[in-house]
Amino acid sequence: MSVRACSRGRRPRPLFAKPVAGVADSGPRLSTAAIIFAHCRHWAGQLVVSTIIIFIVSCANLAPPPEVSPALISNARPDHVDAEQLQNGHRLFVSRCLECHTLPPVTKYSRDEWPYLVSRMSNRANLSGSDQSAIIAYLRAASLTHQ
Amino acid sequence: MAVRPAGFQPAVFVIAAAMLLCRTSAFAGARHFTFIYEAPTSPPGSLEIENYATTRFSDGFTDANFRHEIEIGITEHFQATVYLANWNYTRSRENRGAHYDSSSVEVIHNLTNPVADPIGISLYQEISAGRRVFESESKLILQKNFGPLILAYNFTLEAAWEGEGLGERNGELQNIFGASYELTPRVSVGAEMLHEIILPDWRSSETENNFFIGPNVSYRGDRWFATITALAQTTRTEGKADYQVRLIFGVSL
Repeated sequence: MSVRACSRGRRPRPLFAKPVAGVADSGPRLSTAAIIFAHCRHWAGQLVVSTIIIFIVSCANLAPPPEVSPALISNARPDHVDAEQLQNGHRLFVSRCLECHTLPPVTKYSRDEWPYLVSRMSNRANLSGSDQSAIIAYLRAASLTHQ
Repeated sequence: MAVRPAGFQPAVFVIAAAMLLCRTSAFAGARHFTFIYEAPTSPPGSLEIENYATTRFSDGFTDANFRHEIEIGITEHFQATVYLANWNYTRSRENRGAHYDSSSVEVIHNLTNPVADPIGISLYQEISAGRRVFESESKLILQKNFGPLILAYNFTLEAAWEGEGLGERNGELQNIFGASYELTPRVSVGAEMLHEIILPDWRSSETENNFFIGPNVSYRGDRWFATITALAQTTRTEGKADYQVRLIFGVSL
């Protein structure tokens, strides 16, 4: 939907207004998003714009979980985990965990927090003991790779 | 004439038996949308009951449709669902009361993952049969996850045979698009957009286009979830609901 269609005949203000003195700049992304939102008066337009704003703001967390790489395998050595188990852990993480919620960034929790989190939700995701071990091993190694 | 919803007592019996037999089963997966299906399928061995209630409004309440399903995860990429009873409650002058409509079976095959692959794809097929109705519903389900944001699209092709001797044939195409943002692992908010193309007697000359849009909210508890969507019609089609609200409540067994 175009800005003109959303504004319903109102004369739109300039999209990139000059910064106001004394007001902290919260970042170009958010300020631009707020201006676009202000231009959209129709509720359906605001709904679409809200969705786009959420998408833009969340850009920092868009990266998918890391694939199993040599660096990740070397991170898993202290846990005595091989590449095959890590692959299995990655596969289960992106499929089983996704059935209830979106996947958090692997760095959101520490190496020591992941085992508790996975075991807490294992019943819901119908994970066997070996499934749990594989996911935990992958997440512990992945959380180090991206720190 | 109002017909007593058949299948209620068997439904209650089956649900109770399933609850007794499967107390250790897992959660089959929470829904972020109500009109849109998501690409991931339930984990193998999981079992869940989902209840749908869709209420329509056009100058006040017109009717409510209910569905009660048991969803079973068969393999890592395949799930099956049995809809024990699809029934409705209407309050119009000529047709008032509860009516059993049909029962259904549905299967979903997941082909690709919405996180690990460029796009998540699943194929869906549902067959419904009732006293004077037979329906086939096929869907192509597309989904892509960007961190906490889920974008999903369903293309639906529906064919229905109704009436005496199943002589009336109708078709429907649907394009449904939705976005959902997970504020926390338990709460997500978003929007759904439904475009339906109704083809009475499969004649393109009598095509009816309806467009609905509205917000949705979902909450996931430890062993249950609830998702609600409220859609408003933007096309102002005569005889079509102005608003429709759908609630899905799921409980793991």
